[in-house]
Amino acid sequence: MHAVYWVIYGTVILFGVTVVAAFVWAIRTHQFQKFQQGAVSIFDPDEPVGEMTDGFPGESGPPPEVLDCDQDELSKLDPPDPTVKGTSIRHE
Amino acid sequence: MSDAVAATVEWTPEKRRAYFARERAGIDASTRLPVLTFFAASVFWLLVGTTLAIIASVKMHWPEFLESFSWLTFGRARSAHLDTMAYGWTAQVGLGVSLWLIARLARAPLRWPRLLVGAAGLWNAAVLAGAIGVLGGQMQSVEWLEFPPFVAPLLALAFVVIAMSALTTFGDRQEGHIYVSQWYLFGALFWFPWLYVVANVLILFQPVRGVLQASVNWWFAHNYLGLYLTPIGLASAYYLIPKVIGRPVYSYYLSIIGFWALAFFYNSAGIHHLIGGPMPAWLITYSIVASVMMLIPVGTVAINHHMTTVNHFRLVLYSPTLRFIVFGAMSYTAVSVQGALQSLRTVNEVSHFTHYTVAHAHLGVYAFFTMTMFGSLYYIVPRLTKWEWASARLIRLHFWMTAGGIMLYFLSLTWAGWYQGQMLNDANVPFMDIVKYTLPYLRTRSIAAVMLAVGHLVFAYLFVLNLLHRGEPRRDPTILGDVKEYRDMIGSEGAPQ
Amino acid sequence: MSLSDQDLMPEPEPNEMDPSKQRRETGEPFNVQDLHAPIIREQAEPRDGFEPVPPWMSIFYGILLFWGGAYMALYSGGFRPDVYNEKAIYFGKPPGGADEKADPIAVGRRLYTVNCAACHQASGQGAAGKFPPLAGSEWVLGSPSVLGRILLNGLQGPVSVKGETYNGNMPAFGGRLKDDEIASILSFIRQEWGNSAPAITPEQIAFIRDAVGSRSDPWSADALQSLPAEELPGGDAAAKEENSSTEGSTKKESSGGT
Repeated sequence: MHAVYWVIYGTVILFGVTVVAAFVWAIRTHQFQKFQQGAVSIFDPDEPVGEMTDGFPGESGPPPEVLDCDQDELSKLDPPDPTVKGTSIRHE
Repeated sequence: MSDAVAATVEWTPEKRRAYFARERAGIDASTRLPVLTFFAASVFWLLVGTTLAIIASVKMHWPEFLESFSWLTFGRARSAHLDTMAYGWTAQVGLGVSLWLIARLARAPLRWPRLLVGAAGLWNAAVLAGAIGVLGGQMQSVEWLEFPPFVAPLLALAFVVIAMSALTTFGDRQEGHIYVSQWYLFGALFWFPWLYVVANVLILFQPVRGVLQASVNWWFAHNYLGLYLTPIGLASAYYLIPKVIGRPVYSYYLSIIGFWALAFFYNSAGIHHLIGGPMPAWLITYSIVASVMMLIPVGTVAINHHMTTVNHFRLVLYSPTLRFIVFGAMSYTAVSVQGALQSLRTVNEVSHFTHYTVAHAHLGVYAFFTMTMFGSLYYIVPRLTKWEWASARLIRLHFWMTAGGIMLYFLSLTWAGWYQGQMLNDANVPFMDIVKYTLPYLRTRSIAAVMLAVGHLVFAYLFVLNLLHRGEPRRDPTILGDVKEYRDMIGSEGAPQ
Repeated sequence: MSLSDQDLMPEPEPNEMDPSKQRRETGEPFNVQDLHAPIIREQAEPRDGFEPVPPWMSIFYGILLFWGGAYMALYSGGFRPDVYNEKAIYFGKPPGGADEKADPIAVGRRLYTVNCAACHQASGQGAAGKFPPLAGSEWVLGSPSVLGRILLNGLQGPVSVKGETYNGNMPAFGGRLKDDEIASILSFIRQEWGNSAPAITPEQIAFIRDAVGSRSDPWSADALQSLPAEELPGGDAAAKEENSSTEGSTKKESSGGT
């Protein structure tokens, strides 16, 4: 039975520490700041905000008015700069 | 290095586009071998699991079906269906999608692709041995862990190799921000080995005694869905919905709160499977509260996915990926709310041990997870094979067969299960009456299973065509240019990695 | 989640492509409107990724958390490992469990099966000539002083029960069983098989054990019948009270244990 307690308490402590460490690391590297830039970090100049990236094969995409709605505002979000590493968010 | 590039390249908007397209195509190419291996293997197991599912389903209302094959008795076929779907299909397709997402989100090439193919081989050998073991009668009497015990170390080893590769890739990241999908993926990659190893040790190798085994069993089985499949499904939806629509998620910081709330609450939710069992009351009450508290992360996910999609809902007409994933995201909200209500003692008294629970499980694993994975595959595979899907019509057929099939499945079994539960609780109703009452619904379930099987065959056909580059060559929006083509556009060999 | 203006403002980046940055480097005067444009723009935009939690949702989450706390408090069985019925206890009211005195009749039944039933039988009828019956026996229903002494020291020689004579050998249990165990057995046989006599308390057995002292020989029936009357602690009234509280706890335990 002793092995069982080692398994249970050992893994609980190990994972508890990992979670706390991940959380502390995230705060220290400012992961919980600048959410707006974080949200657009999956876009880039080639696949910018406002452009659809998927479609049925052999068919034309949606009529422009479907995507048109707020292109204008969204396009104002700055795309990241390719020459800088870690472009979307610069760590202080 | 960036200085050197900046000096030689004048960054016109066109070149900026080309630079990012090239980088993305290179990263996708680095994942091609392992990810396609995982996808191909998972599609194979999907077909195996579907066959076993149909056999088990038909036996419920036609017991003489295939009765002369001892290795296809209901108990074995049903367990083999569960295990091939769990470890053959869902786990592997999830791993493939995770590896692709991790490389993309880190903006770094995937590490150790050949080793990953080896890990995929080990994983599939283990699943094959396990499935044969289950059908051959070497089954363990533990739900979700039916494989013979020797399979567990192999699966765990393969998974650890895969997780190490993912972590190393993450270490190479160029992107400073950890996107919400990455949080979910790392959660899944850490949690699965923990769950799987602890559950196997405490049940098969150093068995704990009595009801403690049951609690470990349901802690594992429920968390396999909640801490492994769910994070991968959500990571995929959080990346692909905004990416396909071209619009950031509605409320990004809610999504981060959602992740940490899931990490906090889900682990405790599994014991609600043992309501009515000889467990200390506080433990079951605690898990019920945790199950209901899951409405918090679910609410954040629901708001994000639905509000991101709501003004663009018509786009599901134009994107196969979006169509499947939006279906999956809506199912996630539905299954989670249903699950929270179902964990309450008053509801559970009726619904537990009936077909209602089976319907609920399929709403989660199929309507949410599997549909989300189909959507992800429609997005990822053309980018890896550099070949467009062969037929829009077959994709639509796949969608309607699977979406229609799972809805028929869910509705018929939910209805049957609820009345079955009420009749079971009434001592005046003879048991055979209850069995006869459920028969029409079980037949409906078999029809739904056949619909799903048709959908899967269509998908497997499309997938094979795509791997073999069959069909007419197209340059549609999902296809990216070659690395070389973009290099020519930028005109520099020395661009930053 | 509080956001300062600094968070909202895009950081100035050294970027060759941006003409406004170049202007700054070449020392040309800033255009105030250009400088402020990004700030104004940031504020006016739909703030994707920044949507606050909708108020109804905060309220809903608050209600959920409140419900969770209340449900835990109400249905956790005092967080005890031995309580299986979530409705057994509320807010610290003790359950039928280890803290409460066990039901002496139930304990007595178990001890009787182990220690006495071999001779006196589970039916309490004994065996003709050797082991006297307990059901309806005047010895069992009679004085606790006599009954306690038989258990503590044993009984040897002929004894007359319900008009029949038995000649067996009742062993002494004083060395093997504790006071509360003897009291449980006696209470059990006085209330089983249609018998109904007041229960016997551990204190009464302790008193008798004290009175017997260091005697180790078994009693004879004559010696017991010629005992002087003694005042046991609690008396009959106490025994009755004990009996009724016993039944109360029986009920409590059976509801807490299922």
